[in-house]
Amino acid sequence: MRNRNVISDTRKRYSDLIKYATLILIADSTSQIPRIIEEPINFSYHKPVGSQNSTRFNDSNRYSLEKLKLNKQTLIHLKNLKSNWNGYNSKPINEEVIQITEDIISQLDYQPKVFPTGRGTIQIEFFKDQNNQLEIEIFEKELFMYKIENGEEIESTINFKDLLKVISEFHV
Amino acid sequence: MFNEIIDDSEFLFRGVVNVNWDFENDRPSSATFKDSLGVSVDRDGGRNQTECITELLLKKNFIAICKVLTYDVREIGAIVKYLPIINDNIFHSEIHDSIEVIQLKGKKPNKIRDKSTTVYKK
Repeated sequence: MRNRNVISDTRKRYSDLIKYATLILIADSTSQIPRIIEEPINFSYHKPVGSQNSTRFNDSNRYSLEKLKLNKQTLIHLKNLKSNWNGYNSKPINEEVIQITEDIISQLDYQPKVFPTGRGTIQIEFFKDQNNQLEIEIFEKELFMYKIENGEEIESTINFKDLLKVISEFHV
Repeated sequence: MFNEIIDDSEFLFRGVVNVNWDFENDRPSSATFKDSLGVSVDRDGGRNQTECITELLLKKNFIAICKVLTYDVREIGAIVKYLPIINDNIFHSEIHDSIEVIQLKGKKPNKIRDKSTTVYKK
């Protein structure tokens, strides 16, 4: 009888020990939570590209692949224009001019509007308002610019190498 | 039949095709007024606007027709010449840059576009 009591006491002690050990483990594991909170975490927040506050991509007209695609489709259409396409004995659009125009628009941040002229050239246009607009007529060997900047008019031939600069400055 | 000198008060009509129409601003592009042979127009020659429009539409299925006053063309420094095409178009006239230069470039086509009014739109 005494032995049974001893065994029972021993089991109870083991049981208590296990409970105690479990409590320690729980206490230890929960005590790690405050430790994590206590340690300061330095967030270095990087704004995601194209977020609401990103000025670079807020302008939907800039880098518009859709508009570039549309302009390239327009150029394909212009290739197919035959003589008298405008009803006034117009010339077909010069193929070299179409190629030059395609090269130009492929390099632009902002896509212009593209129009053919009756003399076989192509005009690209940028329009902000009546006092700020830019038209460039693309000939085979010449570019002719007409610009209105803050109401002031400028017309001149421009070099191919200056073209991108002229267009970039217009959009500043 | 008509006076060789087009009066300042006469309107000059021009048809516009789809590829020259600026859909964003609902007006013709100034490219409409750029041609190596001078810009062909039809003087009204005493006709009313409806007659001018109807006759132009018989020639081509234009998306739009605009008109500009001869006075306004002269005001920007371009010239208007009456050049009828016998047995085809007695109203045919041309806008030239100046007496010496035929082709309009840069500023003048833009100004003519700005002065023009769309009188027919499909």
